[in-house]
Amino acid sequence: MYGLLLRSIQAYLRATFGAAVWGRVLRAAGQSPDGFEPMLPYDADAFQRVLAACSAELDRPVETMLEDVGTFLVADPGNQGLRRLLRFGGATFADFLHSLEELPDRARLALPDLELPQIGLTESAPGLFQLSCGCSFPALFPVALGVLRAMADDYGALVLIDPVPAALANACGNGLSVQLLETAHGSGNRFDLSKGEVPYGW
Amino acid sequence: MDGDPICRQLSGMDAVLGCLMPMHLVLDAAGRVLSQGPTLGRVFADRPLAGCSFFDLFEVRNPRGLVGPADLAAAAGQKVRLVARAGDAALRLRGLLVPMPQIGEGVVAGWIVNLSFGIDLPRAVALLQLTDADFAPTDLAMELLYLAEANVVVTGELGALALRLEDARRQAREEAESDTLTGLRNRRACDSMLARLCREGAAFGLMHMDLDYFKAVNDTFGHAAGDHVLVHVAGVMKAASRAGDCLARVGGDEFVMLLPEMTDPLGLRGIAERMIAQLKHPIPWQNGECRISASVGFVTVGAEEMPDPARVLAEADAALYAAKNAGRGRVMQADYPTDALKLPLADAG
Repeated sequence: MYGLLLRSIQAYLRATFGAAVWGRVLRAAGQSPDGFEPMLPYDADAFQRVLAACSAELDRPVETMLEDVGTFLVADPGNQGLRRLLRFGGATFADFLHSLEELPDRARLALPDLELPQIGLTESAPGLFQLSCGCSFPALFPVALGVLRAMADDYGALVLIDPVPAALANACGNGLSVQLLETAHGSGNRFDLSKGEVPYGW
Repeated sequence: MDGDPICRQLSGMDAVLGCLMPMHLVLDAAGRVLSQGPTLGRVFADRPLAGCSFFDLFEVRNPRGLVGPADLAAAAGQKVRLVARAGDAALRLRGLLVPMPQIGEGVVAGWIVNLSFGIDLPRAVALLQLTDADFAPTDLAMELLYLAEANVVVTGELGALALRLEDARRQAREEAESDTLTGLRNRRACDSMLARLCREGAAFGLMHMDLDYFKAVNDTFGHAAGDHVLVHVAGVMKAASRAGDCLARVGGDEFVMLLPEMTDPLGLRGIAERMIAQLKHPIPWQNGECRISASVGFVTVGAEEMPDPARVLAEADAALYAAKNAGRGRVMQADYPTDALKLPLADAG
């Protein structure tokens, strides 16, 4: 998990602010200038130092930065991998929201060692959803918020996403309310099940 | 199935079957199409199928005996493997054939065949531009497509990681086997290549070169001048060697050249003498010039001799010191009894 997150932060900073900024973050965090590998294990300490260094370098709160990382992961035109995998969750944004409860299991199908926190979804009224995210990995919550906002855009849905009041939040203080105002507000981005090329025949 | 009109208006049996099983066919008793699910229609480019014979639409791969309407009863309840006769794609399908409920005693009203793309799913999706709406919600097609794509993403990442690690490994090895000052290989690299040549029974020549008057350069001009001279020597060695030769700095001012296939004493002597002649030219340094020379001892090893590497080095070393003692700036060939290289170093006396 740390490897994937560190690599995501690295991709976001390098693409948005340039290699020099990312190089300064690595130096400030006492990390190797080679950066991070998504499939290699890293410890919580390295992760926290990188977050602190990013926050200082960009002069932005960690949560804001992580939310932008989430948006970047979906919206970066140079890397459609995550966006496409998430779009397999459903044909509409509401369908996609319902698939989020399966997300940890979908992730495990791809990477058996990946332990995503459990995601809970309740639809309290038509088009009004409450989302909660397990507490095992707090840094994922702002990333998930960014991913969710970018996915709504990708589906062309008009949504209001807000943190729920503390009284309604779960044990680690997270919880989102998602209000689906219009399913086809914008044009969204096209999603074809197939990437285009026809696999070899028999 | 949001985009599929057939599931919005569930009037009539055809619509109900089409919504539940978008890849089904209803056949009459003679095996002619009565109706079909919308996705199966896509396989045949949505052309009208009613009245077409099942056996004209599909090539039956299995069961073997299913070749005409009379065989349908025997295939009922069995898995069928088909190839659609539609375009060049030859999509493979698999499914199940069951009889429709009987109208009267002993009379078969027809057959229902429900099909799926099986392993040809990714091809079918690409060829027919299928969407989520073309599959029943009970179908695992979405999960399979997701998994296939996730697999490509993960394998791609692992492949890229393997490449980066291999790159890092090569670089680390390069650094571990290089002399940082001159860019030549170091003693470790030289030892490992010598060991390999000996082990493989390869023919080669080995030169051991030691600089003359190098200490005086260091004492007179300082270590920076000494370093400058060593880099110059490396350049002379590179110019005198071939691509496959191993050039190593093995000590302060000691060098080894390993020359695979080079066993001609005259040729080796020629190379060594040319290097010495060049090294005797004064080497400019700041306002002065450094003067050095070099002494070389060399040894040749024939194919299949497979000597002890330490013994080869010792003989070249002995020849080098003979060259030094004979007045420096000279080349000497190792002089040892026939077959002596095969003896372990300790027995040589």
